[in-house]
Amino acid sequence: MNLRAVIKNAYQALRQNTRRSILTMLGIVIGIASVITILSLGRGFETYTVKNLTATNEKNVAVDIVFSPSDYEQFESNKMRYFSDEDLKFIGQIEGVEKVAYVKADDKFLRIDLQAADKKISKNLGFVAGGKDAVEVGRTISRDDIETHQKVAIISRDTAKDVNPDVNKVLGTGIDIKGELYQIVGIYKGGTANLFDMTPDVKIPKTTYQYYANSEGNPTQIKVTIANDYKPSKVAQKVIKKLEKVGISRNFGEYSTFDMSSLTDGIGKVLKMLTFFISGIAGISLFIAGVGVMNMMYTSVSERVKEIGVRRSVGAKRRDIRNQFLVEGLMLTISAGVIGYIIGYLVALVISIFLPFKVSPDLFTISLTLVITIVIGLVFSITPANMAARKDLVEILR
Amino acid sequence: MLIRLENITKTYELAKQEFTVLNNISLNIAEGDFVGIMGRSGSGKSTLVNLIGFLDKKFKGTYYFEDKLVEQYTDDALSKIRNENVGFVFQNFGLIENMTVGQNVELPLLYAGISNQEKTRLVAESLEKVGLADFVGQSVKLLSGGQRQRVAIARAIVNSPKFIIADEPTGALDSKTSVDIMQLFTDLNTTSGVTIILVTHDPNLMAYCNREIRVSDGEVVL
Repeated sequence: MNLRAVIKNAYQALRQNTRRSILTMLGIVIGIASVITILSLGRGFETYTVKNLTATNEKNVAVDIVFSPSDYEQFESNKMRYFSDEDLKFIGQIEGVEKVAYVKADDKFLRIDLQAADKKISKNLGFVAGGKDAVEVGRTISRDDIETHQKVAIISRDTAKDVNPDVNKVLGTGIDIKGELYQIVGIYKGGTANLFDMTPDVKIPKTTYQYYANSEGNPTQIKVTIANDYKPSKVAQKVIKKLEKVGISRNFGEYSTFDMSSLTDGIGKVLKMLTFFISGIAGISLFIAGVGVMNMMYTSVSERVKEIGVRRSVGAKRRDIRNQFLVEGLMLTISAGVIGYIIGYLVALVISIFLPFKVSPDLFTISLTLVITIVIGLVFSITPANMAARKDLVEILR
Repeated sequence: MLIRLENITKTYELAKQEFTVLNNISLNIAEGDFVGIMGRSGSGKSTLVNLIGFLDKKFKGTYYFEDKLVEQYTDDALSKIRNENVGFVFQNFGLIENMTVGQNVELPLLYAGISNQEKTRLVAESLEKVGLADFVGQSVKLLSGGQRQRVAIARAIVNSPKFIIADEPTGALDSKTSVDIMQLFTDLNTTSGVTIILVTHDPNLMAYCNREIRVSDGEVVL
């Protein structure tokens, strides 16, 4: 019996009992749709998160080497260097290092400690744009202040309250920022108390900060770009060893590395696990739907005992009968899987409109759907199909 | 000789008691015969034709089909033999209700693996022989009893079998239709030379046969 005839046959048999077929398929459709929705969203979220964590768009992997001095004061006041040009030259000679460069300190946001009344409080330090920052009390920092490196600061109302409960008395007093005294000239509204709100609590002119804090030109980090085919962690270790021997400030602190890729790998893995876990739970519904398929196949077999007898008597072999019912089961589950995939994908697509990432159909989810539906079709149809094939011919023709 | 049975005995066990259905039966059927197997219900005639038609291989004794021993075949091999050599006509027609006339008739060809073109030709040919030439696409559900039995006969002859087993073919039909169907069998036997084994309890049908085998209590009495 050729395949086309078998498939045509199975289609007719399923159409014969359209309502029962559709109801059985519904279970599979719902199961597949929920798994695909979760998987699509999960994978979209995973790529989105990992992409955001990996700031660089460079093809090669880069690792950052950080120098942590044992005594910060020494470096601040004595103007000692964390890394020297010689250090970079030495590192450049290490095997597996493609490029090495200073990391410019990200001056957008800094954490500073303020002495308020009797306790230390941690605040975000930001820089003014120059005359544009609105204040509630006092004056804002002008372009002149910025150009002439004036030690002036504007602070948020919340910060002012921390310094002195009587906000009006704060104006004109000084605050200590990294060892320098800045005069508070204005108070602005400030951001909310949200943990993730990055609105600075204290704003000062950037030029002034750089002039006194001397952070530019003395980076605490270097970025080592790893050549292809080298393991980032190994090369980073070599770099650190080298620095510990020849680094300019090797006696005044420690070198360490912060490997971003391992972090993103880890987060990616956790997200993946989470996605699979939730999909697994959704997959339980698929199992139940599979039992529904089995139930239907058993009913179908016992309803069609006469047909089985007729087919066998005209020359159908046992495997012809078994294949007939297997193909029916497979056709049911695979078509339900295809419908479920489309629905699941569409649902994910609609949900993703409200989310910052895109979902796209990929080979993995498509092949997963196929594999799951084929497995369900086979597993839950094989016993009814075998039962049909094993029926005693003389018994059923009686 | 087409069919040769020697000392065939068939027993079955029910409630730990052994019943003998067929007892030491020996008979021959030649090509071109129109054999009538007569007997009351429970006489074992259906069991006998099931055995002859390769539906049942659990028996004692020897069965030579075209001078080859039958009992050593596997289930698959027997399916193939059935497909190529036997056509069955049942009392209850044995048609698959949800398929068309054409689909029912082509079933044996489907399992024989015959090409589509050939299939269409053979189906048309055999439907022509039973006088249902225009019924190929018709649903079986809408047919009368006589028409159904014609479809069953068309299916039985579509693969040009060596013999046809007709087990009470007129049992569910009125007398007029019965005559038509029996006439059809006679025509097939005389014009196409098809060997027919007719099973019945109705002595009137023996008039159509050219040989009679009477079965009583599992034994051939005539």
